[in-house]
Amino acid sequence: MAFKPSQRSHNKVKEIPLDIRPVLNLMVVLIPILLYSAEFVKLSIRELNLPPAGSSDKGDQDKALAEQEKRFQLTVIISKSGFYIGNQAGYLTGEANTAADPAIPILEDGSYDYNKLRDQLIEIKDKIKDQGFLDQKSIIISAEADIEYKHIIKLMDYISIYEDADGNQQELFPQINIGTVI
Amino acid sequence: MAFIPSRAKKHRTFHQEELNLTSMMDAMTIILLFLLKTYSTTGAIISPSSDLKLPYSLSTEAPHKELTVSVTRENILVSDERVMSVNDVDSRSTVLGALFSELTRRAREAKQNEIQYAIPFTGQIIIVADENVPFQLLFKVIYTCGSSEYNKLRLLTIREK
Repeated sequence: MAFKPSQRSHNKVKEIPLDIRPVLNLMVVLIPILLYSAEFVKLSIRELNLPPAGSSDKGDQDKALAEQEKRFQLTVIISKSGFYIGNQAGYLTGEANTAADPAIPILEDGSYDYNKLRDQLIEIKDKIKDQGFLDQKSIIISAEADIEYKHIIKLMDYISIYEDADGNQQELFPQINIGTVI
Repeated sequence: MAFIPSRAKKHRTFHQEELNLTSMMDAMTIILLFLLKTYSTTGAIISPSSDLKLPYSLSTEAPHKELTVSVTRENILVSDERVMSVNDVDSRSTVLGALFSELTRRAREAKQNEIQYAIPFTGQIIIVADENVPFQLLFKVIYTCGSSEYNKLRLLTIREK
């Protein structure tokens, strides 16, 4: 017995519109939620190292120990006329070779010469690298009283990391302390 | 003279028009993708203010929500509550009295919470300062925070691309 020919060819395909209303409902809910938690300004932080309060009045034993430790205490001071670089022993002198001049004077247009400072610090880092200083990764930043905060943050950018000749990011002095002018 | 009612209208059959939402869906999808891209889980750390403009930095470290000390051009605030005015800063002493007492009070509360509810007190604090704040004031704020048990300091900046 032969089968009855299929009726399929006579099927009328009815076009059903896609019901996207549930998806739309979801979107309407999702958008306010995401809008609420959207961050349009990307924030970041800079960590500072500060000794805990009261660490200065340690016992005598600790003091004796502290004296044995070798510390370099590299300091960069921002002044109106440029950067001073130095440590407890003394400060680098500028090109004019007088002690009052900053090591890296400001550029002619009045902005700070961050790139030169970074080159100088890379040089210092290479010199002190293998001499066993405990604080060879840290640096003390100081500034004149009315230097603005933005300059200090900019300085931190330049002294914490640098790019070497191959384009890799290298640590310069990532541990940043803040101090006052001695 | 009255008009004869339209015959054509009388026999017109209404059939439901489907609302075309496709283009709206397209727009929504794009907005959704954009918002997902800017999604942040940390929540708002600072409340925007006209006299608080953060400096730009290359740092990529992501901030966490901690107690904030804001130094605007006029006021010093601890988690959005005004503590003192910048004009009241004593030029001779390095510790800002009002800020110090507020921070020690909060530290005491936080330590109480640590005992009662086991919320650890980490001593972390975020300093949110305007980019034009002079170093002298900034140093005093940092010094005050450091001497009042909050000694893990972080400076909040806007990430530069």
